[in-house]
Amino acid sequence: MTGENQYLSLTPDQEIALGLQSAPEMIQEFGGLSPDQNAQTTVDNIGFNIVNKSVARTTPWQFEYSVLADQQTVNAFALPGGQVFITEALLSQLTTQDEIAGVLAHETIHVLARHSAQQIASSDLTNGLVGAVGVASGDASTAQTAAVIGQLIGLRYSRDDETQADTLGVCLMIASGYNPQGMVEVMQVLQNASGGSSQPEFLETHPNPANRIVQIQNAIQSAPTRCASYQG
Amino acid sequence: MQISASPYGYSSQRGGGSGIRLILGVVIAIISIMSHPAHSIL
Repeated sequence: MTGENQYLSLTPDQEIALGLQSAPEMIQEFGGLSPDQNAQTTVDNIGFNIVNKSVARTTPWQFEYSVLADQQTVNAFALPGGQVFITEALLSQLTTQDEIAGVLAHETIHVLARHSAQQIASSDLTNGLVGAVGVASGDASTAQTAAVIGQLIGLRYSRDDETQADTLGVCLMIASGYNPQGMVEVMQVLQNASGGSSQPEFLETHPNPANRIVQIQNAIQSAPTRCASYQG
Repeated sequence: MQISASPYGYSSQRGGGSGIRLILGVVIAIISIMSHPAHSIL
Protein backbone atom coordinates (compact mmCIF):
# COMPACT_ATOMS: atom_id res chain seq x y z
CA MET A 1 0.00 0.00 0.00
CA THR A 2 2.74 2.49 0.95
CA GLY A 3 5.43 0.87 -1.17
CA GLU A 4 7.34 -0.31 1.91
CA ASN A 5 7.91 -3.86 3.14
CA GLN A 6 6.00 -4.54 6.34
CA TYR A 7 6.49 -7.26 8.96
CA LEU A 8 3.11 -7.71 10.62
CA SER A 9 1.86 -10.16 13.20
CA LEU A 10 -1.88 -9.39 12.76
CA THR A 11 -4.13 -10.48 9.89
CA PRO A 12 -6.60 -7.94 8.42
CA ASP A 13 -9.47 -9.73 10.19
CA GLN A 14 -7.62 -9.51 13.51
CA GLU A 15 -6.97 -5.79 12.93
CA ILE A 16 -10.64 -5.15 12.21
CA ALA A 17 -11.64 -7.12 15.32
CA LEU A 18 -9.09 -5.21 17.44
CA GLY A 19 -10.45 -1.88 16.22
CA LEU A 20 -14.08 -2.85 16.83
CA GLN A 21 -13.14 -4.15 20.28
CA SER A 22 -11.30 -0.93 21.19
CA ALA A 23 -13.93 1.47 19.80
CA PRO A 24 -16.39 1.47 22.76
CA GLU A 25 -13.57 2.30 25.17
CA MET A 26 -12.37 5.14 22.99
CA ILE A 27 -15.92 6.49 22.59
CA GLN A 28 -16.42 6.38 26.35
CA GLU A 29 -13.06 8.06 27.03
CA PHE A 30 -14.03 11.05 24.87
CA GLY A 31 -17.52 11.70 26.18
CA GLY A 32 -19.53 9.33 24.00
CA LEU A 33 -20.72 9.87 20.45
CA SER A 34 -21.71 13.42 19.55
CA PRO A 35 -25.45 14.14 19.63
CA ASP A 36 -24.90 16.70 16.83
CA GLN A 37 -26.44 14.90 13.84
CA ASN A 38 -25.42 17.65 11.40
CA ALA A 39 -21.79 17.25 12.39
CA GLN A 40 -22.01 13.48 12.08
CA THR A 41 -23.65 13.73 8.63
CA THR A 42 -20.93 16.09 7.42
CA VAL A 43 -18.20 13.75 8.63
CA ASP A 44 -20.03 10.72 7.17
CA ASN A 45 -20.23 12.37 3.76
CA ILE A 46 -16.61 13.47 3.65
CA GLY A 47 -15.42 10.08 4.92
CA PHE A 48 -17.58 8.36 2.29
CA ASN A 49 -16.01 10.50 -0.46
CA ILE A 50 -12.48 9.80 0.71
CA VAL A 51 -13.04 6.04 0.75
CA ASN A 52 -15.15 5.67 -2.37
CA LYS A 53 -13.17 7.97 -4.65
CA SER A 54 -9.75 6.63 -3.71
CA VAL A 55 -7.79 3.39 -3.51
CA ALA A 56 -9.33 2.84 -0.06
CA ARG A 57 -12.43 1.52 -1.86
CA THR A 58 -10.52 -1.58 -2.96
CA THR A 59 -9.18 -2.53 0.49
CA PRO A 60 -10.69 -4.90 3.10
CA TRP A 61 -10.93 -2.23 5.84
CA GLN A 62 -14.37 -1.39 7.25
CA PHE A 63 -14.29 2.39 7.44
CA GLU A 64 -16.58 4.21 9.84
CA TYR A 65 -16.19 7.90 10.70
CA SER A 66 -17.61 9.10 14.03
CA VAL A 67 -17.78 12.42 15.88
CA LEU A 68 -16.92 12.24 19.59
CA ALA A 69 -18.76 14.53 22.02
CA ASP A 70 -15.55 15.77 23.73
CA GLN A 71 -15.51 19.58 23.48
CA GLN A 72 -12.15 20.05 25.21
CA THR A 73 -9.75 17.67 23.46
CA VAL A 74 -8.64 18.91 20.04
CA ASN A 75 -7.77 15.65 18.30
CA ALA A 76 -8.74 12.86 15.92
CA PHE A 77 -7.98 9.15 16.11
CA ALA A 78 -7.81 6.01 14.00
CA LEU A 79 -8.14 2.48 15.26
CA PRO A 80 -6.89 -0.47 13.23
CA GLY A 81 -9.36 -1.88 10.74
CA GLY A 82 -11.15 1.38 9.86
CA GLN A 83 -12.67 3.06 12.92
CA VAL A 84 -11.95 6.82 12.66
CA PHE A 85 -12.93 9.48 15.21
CA ILE A 86 -12.83 13.27 15.37
CA THR A 87 -13.70 15.25 18.48
CA GLU A 88 -16.26 18.05 18.52
CA ALA A 89 -13.47 20.29 19.86
CA LEU A 90 -11.38 19.80 16.70
CA LEU A 91 -14.37 19.84 14.36
CA SER A 92 -15.52 23.18 15.81
CA GLN A 93 -12.18 24.74 14.81
CA LEU A 94 -12.33 23.57 11.20
CA THR A 95 -14.04 25.99 8.85
CA THR A 96 -14.04 24.20 5.48
CA GLN A 97 -14.80 20.73 4.11
CA ASP A 98 -11.20 20.61 2.83
CA GLU A 99 -9.91 20.97 6.40
CA ILE A 100 -12.22 18.21 7.67
CA ALA A 101 -11.11 16.06 4.72
CA GLY A 102 -7.49 16.77 5.72
CA VAL A 103 -8.06 15.32 9.18
CA LEU A 104 -10.04 12.31 7.94
CA ALA A 105 -7.54 11.59 5.13
CA HIS A 106 -4.67 11.62 7.64
CA GLU A 107 -6.48 9.11 9.86
CA THR A 108 -7.54 7.00 6.88
CA ILE A 109 -3.89 6.59 5.88
CA HIS A 110 -3.07 5.27 9.36
CA VAL A 111 -5.63 2.51 8.66
CA LEU A 112 -4.55 1.84 5.06
CA ALA A 113 -0.84 1.78 5.96
CA ARG A 114 -1.58 -0.54 8.90
CA HIS A 115 0.46 1.63 11.24
CA SER A 116 -1.03 0.11 14.40
CA ALA A 117 -0.23 -3.45 13.35
CA GLN A 118 3.24 -2.31 12.35
CA GLN A 119 3.82 -0.65 15.74
CA ILE A 120 2.58 -3.71 17.59
CA ALA A 121 5.01 -5.86 15.59
CA SER A 122 7.91 -3.45 16.16
CA SER A 123 7.20 -3.06 19.91
CA ASP A 124 7.18 -6.89 20.20
CA LEU A 125 10.60 -6.83 18.55
CA THR A 126 11.85 -3.98 20.77
CA ASN A 127 10.63 -5.70 23.94
CA GLY A 128 12.37 -8.90 22.85
CA LEU A 129 15.62 -7.04 22.21
CA VAL A 130 15.43 -5.23 25.57
CA GLY A 131 14.86 -8.54 27.35
CA ALA A 132 17.74 -10.11 25.46
CA VAL A 133 20.08 -7.23 26.38
CA GLY A 134 19.05 -7.55 30.04
CA VAL A 135 19.57 -11.29 30.13
CA ALA A 136 22.86 -11.14 28.22
CA SER A 137 24.34 -8.38 30.38
CA GLY A 138 22.83 -9.44 33.71
CA ASP A 139 22.85 -5.73 34.47
CA ALA A 140 19.68 -3.79 35.22
CA SER A 141 21.12 -0.42 34.21
CA THR A 142 22.12 -1.80 30.80
CA ALA A 143 18.61 -3.18 30.35
CA GLN A 144 17.18 0.19 31.44
CA THR A 145 19.34 2.04 28.91
CA ALA A 146 18.24 -0.42 26.21
CA ALA A 147 14.61 0.20 27.21
CA VAL A 148 15.01 3.98 26.88
CA ILE A 149 16.68 3.56 23.49
CA GLY A 150 13.84 1.21 22.52
CA GLN A 151 11.26 3.84 23.45
CA LEU A 152 13.12 6.52 21.47
CA ILE A 153 13.18 4.19 18.45
CA GLY A 154 9.43 3.72 18.98
CA LEU A 155 8.90 7.48 18.97
CA ARG A 156 10.92 7.75 15.77
CA TYR A 157 8.68 5.12 14.13
CA SER A 158 5.68 7.03 15.43
CA ARG A 159 6.86 10.33 13.89
CA ASP A 160 7.58 8.57 10.59
CA ASP A 161 4.02 7.19 10.64
CA GLU A 162 2.62 10.68 11.20
CA THR A 163 4.67 12.12 8.35
CA GLN A 164 3.45 9.33 6.08
CA ALA A 165 -0.16 9.94 7.16
CA ASP A 166 0.27 13.63 6.28
CA THR A 167 2.00 13.16 2.93
CA LEU A 168 -0.12 10.22 1.70
CA GLY A 169 -3.20 11.91 3.16
CA VAL A 170 -2.54 14.62 0.57
CA CYS A 171 -2.89 11.92 -2.13
CA LEU A 172 -6.23 10.73 -0.72
CA MET A 173 -7.52 14.32 -0.61
CA ILE A 174 -6.61 14.91 -4.25
CA ALA A 175 -8.09 11.55 -5.31
CA SER A 176 -11.38 12.37 -3.59
CA GLY A 177 -11.61 15.91 -4.96
CA TYR A 178 -10.59 17.99 -1.95
CA ASN A 179 -8.04 20.81 -1.91
CA PRO A 180 -4.93 19.45 -0.13
CA GLN A 181 -4.17 22.94 1.14
CA GLY A 182 -6.82 22.05 3.73
CA MET A 183 -4.24 19.76 5.37
CA VAL A 184 -1.86 22.73 5.79
CA GLU A 185 -4.66 24.73 7.40
CA VAL A 186 -5.35 21.83 9.79
CA MET A 187 -1.72 21.95 10.96
CA GLN A 188 -2.08 25.65 11.64
CA VAL A 189 -5.16 24.89 13.75
CA LEU A 190 -3.26 22.15 15.61
CA GLN A 191 -0.27 24.44 16.09
CA ASN A 192 -2.50 27.01 17.76
CA ALA A 193 -4.28 24.33 19.80
CA SER A 194 -1.06 22.79 21.11
CA GLY A 195 0.29 26.18 22.20
CA GLY A 196 3.82 25.25 21.16
CA SER A 197 5.87 22.20 22.10
CA SER A 198 7.54 22.13 25.50
CA GLN A 199 10.15 19.51 24.61
CA PRO A 200 12.43 18.72 21.66
CA GLU A 201 10.90 16.97 18.67
CA PHE A 202 12.92 13.75 19.16
CA LEU A 203 11.03 13.15 22.42
CA GLU A 204 7.61 13.70 20.80
CA THR A 205 5.29 11.16 19.19
CA HIS A 206 4.44 13.65 16.42
CA PRO A 207 6.66 15.91 14.32
CA ASN A 208 6.62 19.60 15.15
CA PRO A 209 3.58 21.23 13.44
CA ALA A 210 5.82 23.77 11.69
CA ASN A 211 7.88 20.92 10.20
CA ARG A 212 4.68 19.13 9.24
CA ILE A 213 3.48 22.19 7.31
CA VAL A 214 6.72 22.26 5.28
CA GLN A 215 6.48 18.51 4.57
CA ILE A 216 2.83 18.77 3.51
CA GLN A 217 3.61 21.69 1.19
CA ASN A 218 6.40 19.61 -0.37
CA ALA A 219 3.98 16.65 -0.65
CA ILE A 220 1.44 18.84 -2.48
CA GLN A 221 4.11 19.96 -4.96
CA SER A 222 5.26 16.39 -5.64
CA ALA A 223 1.72 14.95 -5.73
CA PRO A 224 1.41 14.75 -9.56
CA THR A 225 4.30 12.27 -9.73
CA ARG A 226 3.64 10.53 -6.41
CA CYS A 227 -0.11 10.07 -5.99
CA ALA A 228 -1.31 8.31 -9.16
CA SER A 229 -1.79 4.95 -7.41
CA TYR A 230 -4.14 6.48 -4.84
CA GLN A 231 -6.89 7.24 -7.34
CA GLY A 232 -10.07 5.18 -6.95
CA MET B 1 28.00 -11.75 42.47
CA GLN B 2 27.26 -8.27 43.82
CA ILE B 3 28.20 -7.24 47.38
CA SER B 4 26.72 -4.10 48.87
CA ALA B 5 26.76 -2.34 52.22
CA SER B 6 23.48 -1.75 54.02
CA PRO B 7 22.55 -0.33 57.43
CA TYR B 8 22.15 -3.94 58.53
CA GLY B 9 25.60 -5.07 57.45
CA TYR B 10 26.89 -6.51 54.18
CA SER B 11 24.60 -8.41 51.91
CA SER B 12 25.29 -10.33 48.75
CA GLN B 13 23.05 -10.67 45.73
CA ARG B 14 23.26 -12.81 42.62
CA GLY B 15 21.53 -11.57 39.49
CA GLY B 16 19.98 -8.75 41.50
CA GLY B 17 18.78 -6.97 38.36
CA SER B 18 16.22 -9.62 37.47
CA GLY B 19 13.46 -8.07 39.61
CA ILE B 20 14.12 -4.64 38.15
CA ARG B 21 14.19 -6.12 34.63
CA LEU B 22 10.84 -7.77 35.31
CA ILE B 23 9.33 -4.47 36.50
CA LEU B 24 10.91 -2.72 33.51
CA GLY B 25 9.42 -5.30 31.16
CA VAL B 26 5.98 -4.80 32.70
CA VAL B 27 6.30 -1.00 32.39
CA ILE B 28 7.33 -1.29 28.75
CA ALA B 29 4.44 -3.67 28.08
CA ILE B 30 1.99 -1.23 29.73
CA ILE B 31 3.40 1.69 27.72
CA SER B 32 3.11 -0.42 24.55
CA ILE B 33 -0.51 -1.32 25.31
CA MET B 34 -1.37 2.29 26.24
CA SER B 35 0.16 3.64 23.04
CA HIS B 36 -1.76 1.14 20.90
CA PRO B 37 -3.79 0.66 18.94
CA ALA B 38 -5.01 4.22 18.28
CA HIS B 39 -3.19 6.82 16.19
CA SER B 40 -4.03 10.49 16.71
CA ILE B 41 -3.44 13.56 14.58
CA LEU B 42 -1.90 15.62 17.43
